[in-house]
Amino acid sequence: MTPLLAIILFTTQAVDTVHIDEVTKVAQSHQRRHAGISVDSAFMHTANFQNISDVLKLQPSVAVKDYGGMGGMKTISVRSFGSQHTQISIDGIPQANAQTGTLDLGIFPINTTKELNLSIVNSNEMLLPARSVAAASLLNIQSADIINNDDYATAFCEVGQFRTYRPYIVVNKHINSNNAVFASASLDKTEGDYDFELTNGTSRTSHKRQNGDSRQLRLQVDYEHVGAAKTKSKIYYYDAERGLPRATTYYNLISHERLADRNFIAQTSVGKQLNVVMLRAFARYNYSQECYKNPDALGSALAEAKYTQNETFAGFSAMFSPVNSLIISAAADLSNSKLNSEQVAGSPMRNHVTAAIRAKYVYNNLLATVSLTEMAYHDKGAATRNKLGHAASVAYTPARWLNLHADYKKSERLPSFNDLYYNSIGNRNLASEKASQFALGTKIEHGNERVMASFSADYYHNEITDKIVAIPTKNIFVWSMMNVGKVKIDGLDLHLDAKYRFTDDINLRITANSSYQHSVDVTDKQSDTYGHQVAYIPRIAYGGMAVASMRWFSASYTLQRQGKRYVLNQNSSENRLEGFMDQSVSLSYTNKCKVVDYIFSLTCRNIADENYEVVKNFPMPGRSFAASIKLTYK
Amino acid sequence: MILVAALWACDDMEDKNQSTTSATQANDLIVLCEGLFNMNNSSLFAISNSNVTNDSFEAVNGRKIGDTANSMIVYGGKIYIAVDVSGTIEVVDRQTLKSLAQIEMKITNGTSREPRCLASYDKYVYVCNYDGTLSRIDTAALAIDAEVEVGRNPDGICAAGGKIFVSNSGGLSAPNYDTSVSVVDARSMTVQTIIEVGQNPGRMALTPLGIVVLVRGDYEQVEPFLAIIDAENLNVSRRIDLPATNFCATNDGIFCYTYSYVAKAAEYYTISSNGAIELWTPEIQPQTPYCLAFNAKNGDVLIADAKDYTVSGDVHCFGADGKHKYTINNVGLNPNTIIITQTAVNENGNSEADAFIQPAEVVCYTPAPGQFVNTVTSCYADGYTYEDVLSEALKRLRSGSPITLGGWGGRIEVRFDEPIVRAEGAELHIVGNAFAGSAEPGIVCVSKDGKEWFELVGSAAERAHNYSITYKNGSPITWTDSNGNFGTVEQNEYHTQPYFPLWLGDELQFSGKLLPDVGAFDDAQKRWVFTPFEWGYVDNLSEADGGAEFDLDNAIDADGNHVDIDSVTYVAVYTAVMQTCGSLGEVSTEITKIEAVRQ
Repeated sequence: MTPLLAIILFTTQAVDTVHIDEVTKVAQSHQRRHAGISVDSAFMHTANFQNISDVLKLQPSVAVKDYGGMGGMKTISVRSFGSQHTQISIDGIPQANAQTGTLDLGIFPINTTKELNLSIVNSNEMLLPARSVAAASLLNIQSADIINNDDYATAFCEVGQFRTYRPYIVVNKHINSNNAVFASASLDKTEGDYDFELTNGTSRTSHKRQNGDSRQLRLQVDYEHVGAAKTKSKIYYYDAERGLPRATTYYNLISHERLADRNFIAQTSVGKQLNVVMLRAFARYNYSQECYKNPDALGSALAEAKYTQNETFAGFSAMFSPVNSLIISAAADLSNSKLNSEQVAGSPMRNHVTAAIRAKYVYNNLLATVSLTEMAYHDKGAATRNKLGHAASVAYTPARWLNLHADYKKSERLPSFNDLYYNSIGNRNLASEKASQFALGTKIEHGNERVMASFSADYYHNEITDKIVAIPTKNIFVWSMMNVGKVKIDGLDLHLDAKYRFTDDINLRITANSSYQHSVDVTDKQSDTYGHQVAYIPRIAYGGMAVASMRWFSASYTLQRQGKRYVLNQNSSENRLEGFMDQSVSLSYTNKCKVVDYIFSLTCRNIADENYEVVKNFPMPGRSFAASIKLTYK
Repeated sequence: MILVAALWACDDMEDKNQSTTSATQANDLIVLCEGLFNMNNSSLFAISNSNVTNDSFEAVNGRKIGDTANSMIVYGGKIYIAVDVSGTIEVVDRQTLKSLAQIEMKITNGTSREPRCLASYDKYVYVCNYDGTLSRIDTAALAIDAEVEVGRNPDGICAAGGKIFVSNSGGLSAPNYDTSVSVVDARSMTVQTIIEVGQNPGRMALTPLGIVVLVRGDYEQVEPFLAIIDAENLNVSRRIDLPATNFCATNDGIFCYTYSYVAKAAEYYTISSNGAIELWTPEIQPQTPYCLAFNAKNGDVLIADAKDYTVSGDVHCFGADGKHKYTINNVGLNPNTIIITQTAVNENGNSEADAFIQPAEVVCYTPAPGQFVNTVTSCYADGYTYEDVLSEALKRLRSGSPITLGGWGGRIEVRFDEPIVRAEGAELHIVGNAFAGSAEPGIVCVSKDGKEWFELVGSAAERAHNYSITYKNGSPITWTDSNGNFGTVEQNEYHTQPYFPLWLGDELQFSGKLLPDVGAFDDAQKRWVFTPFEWGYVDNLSEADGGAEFDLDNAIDADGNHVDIDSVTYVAVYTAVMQTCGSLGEVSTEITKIEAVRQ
């Protein structure tokens, strides 16, 4: 279900007149209209999602590991790959955390996000940074347009149970016709003391989540410029302080652990046409600091931990079309990452270069893409390592409404600093995890005045070798690493996206998806876990969203259901974690008065009050209510 | 949505549970499995008479032990379990595993003090906690009655000579490990002295070598070694430079292994009290040895195998020579303590074994025709051969399930591994199902070789006669006896199966003593009433009334004269009354246990 599918409908028509402008337009129109895994801001804000991970939970091929509550850590995993295989980018610029190799999605803002685009296997966008090309999957968080939007200012506040407050303000202002500025400040604050139930043998008791308070501040300033070149720059600051509630261990539910983290990102990208070459250059600086404290620790090794990271990143990508039906792009980027912490010996530093070459060829109803990537990285005190990756995609559109595609990719994800160097848990001998993906898919579209619908079915076969598996040994913040071996994944994703236009004012949009994942350990025939489903991956999951909007009212319903999973690789009854269903409902009333547009919303999350866990012993909140008001001044 | 529903039905994942395979010769064991950190999955595995319970703590108490149960000891008929993350100490009854108390080990703000290791001494149980303290539990009140501060993160404990030795690892402040062993006076609970041993001392035990401490080093440069503490001089008298990972005391020294995380292989050694270190090679290699237990009775070594720490582990049993005896699979996650329940510690610190010894084998089981023959009470199921019946009879005796002997003469003979030596009081414990108003007396015989038998005399000896009988299969079953009488065995309406044992051919002959009738029909009460004999017969008086005790002093020869027997190896019981009581059917001795009393 890659955006490659959508592009077919456009490029097969555009291909006859291949000028760079057309290609650019195509690339941009691809950005505006994705198939399958793309969520736009209207969708996101109608349902009042509190964070990006809640949006992603409803998408096909995605699993989110959620530790509960607003402050709980949330990471994304695509098609049974670990979260480190997914490259996350903001406005097309790759983000990173060299220490863990993955990113807590809670860092990223939802209120200023225009679109989420998830490309699995290959993306058809040709101006991607090299490391986005190399990754097994790519999640792009696209910020709101600035210049293309008229000036406005928005103030919003949501108030909810567990003393939750979520105010933000946003201002979009043109300086002149070529320059515009965007600023946002938001605060997410909650006591997080939601009720949950604990089952111990034959008894069931009710408790309140303790030490689950969190405060997250997000400040953002964006700047866009159009002219000879197009630039988009951003400064983003995230500051959070929160309690870390422990796993709900029997007879001991108390925790006093705290985590304070700060993240500062400054990035810019410049796009320019130079003769026949379309060029994009970008740079990012990232500073992050995490401070962990446990006042109850019985020894100094566990009492405190501080991690400071600096990363500098820069790169470019270029594309041109030497002949009518062929587009070639080349990209390279370089990053320097440093980690300072007492917990990680030797202040690791990594220089990492990625280069990618891609070619896209169009012939009648056929579109083929091929890419080659090379990654070279050098950790301080270790040898330089080289990794080659390659990928190919073929798409065939026999009719306007039907698209068939096949995709293939071989990629690797490097062991993170924690994997390698963390005191007494790190394993310097860790190899990188290798991933290979093969997918076959079909998409059927139908559209008329009333209805636009698309249905896609994707079969995929993935293999992971040298999988790095984390086993919790200390707390949710720190894990211990092993190369487990081989995993074989076979899956089927079905996705439906339909829009009904009853009248000009009345719309209904439904998305629904379901996935079947057979993801088993095939490391060692003699082992007790051979052929068992890998931990935390459900065999069946489905979800979806329905939004009905009328002139003044709108209502939305979301559903996420995961089947049972096993918390360890051995699929025994003791390790089984039951499945769950989480449904939410939101109602909004929108109108305008002379000065402002306003929207009142009421949201009920987890309406069935289901007591469940995504991660064992980290309960999720039950039913909760929230109300919000949004005022926009134009 | 239909598609979705259809797909939902495809959740074809099923639990893949390992069956716990256990050999019938497995010892009775209780194994504490710590589970994984923060997974609430500590469990208590129990195997008794080859019957397995995967989490017997939850099965008995309806709740789980908690998170990261670290260690366990048996003392005074109770089992104590220290549960590290949950911050509790569970006390359960040793026989039933029913919870007697849950002692909280927390500080005032609710944080766990992390109880780690347990030791017992003189009616108290001592526990060292990671918060740097040693607590004493009064085993009568099952509460903490004293505490003292010791070193940092104590991770080993041992009681000897009125003192409690606690090794202070300092592990939670790595690499600033503690290097000492605190010596605490057991009575006053005050620290007497501190002995320097080396970085990161852990497990301690009293062994024939002395008090052995495993000094673990820093897991990088400094290698582990074993230090031996002199309990008198309170210093390190000797050190053994073997980089052991774990050890346990044996009859003449210690047994230990070194495990290399890099090579993923272990080497095993025995160290005797003269200091000789010998390599010990097990017939099969456990994947990841995790804990040890030594069977003092026969020198067997039990090694728990944690495999990859995330799958259910095994327990392997080896003889002293390394020969593999048996393996129990699927014991639980990370088995960290094994207790062989036939050997436990009582108040005096002496070896207290189970009160009764079970027979090793049933060598003969020939019930006479009766209404329960060929049902489960006669150890029979469709298609069973005589061997199968004997094997089933042994299982039933060991689990206390009733076995019928049928009418007069029906007999069972068992053999014991160890000779039963004549001593003061009763040496045999043979239980029937007698109660007030029901007596079906059987006579006990004993033998040294299983061929020459001696009866144990009873109170009705004067009225007993020599007697023999022959039963013949048929419709109906017929019998003729040495008194010149003959008759048939009638089937009643309650039991419709054949009454002649199906695994024993068509003719049975028995001989022995005939006791007078015990049943009489009471016209007034309109029912059969049974009058038991005063003493000396099986299934005659209830166990509470002393009806299960039998004394070798009562052995007589064929002429009825007292005979002195020093020991016996075989015991037999046969039905000694020949009587049919109307609709109640024949008088038939039933037994549930034939045991020797442990002296």
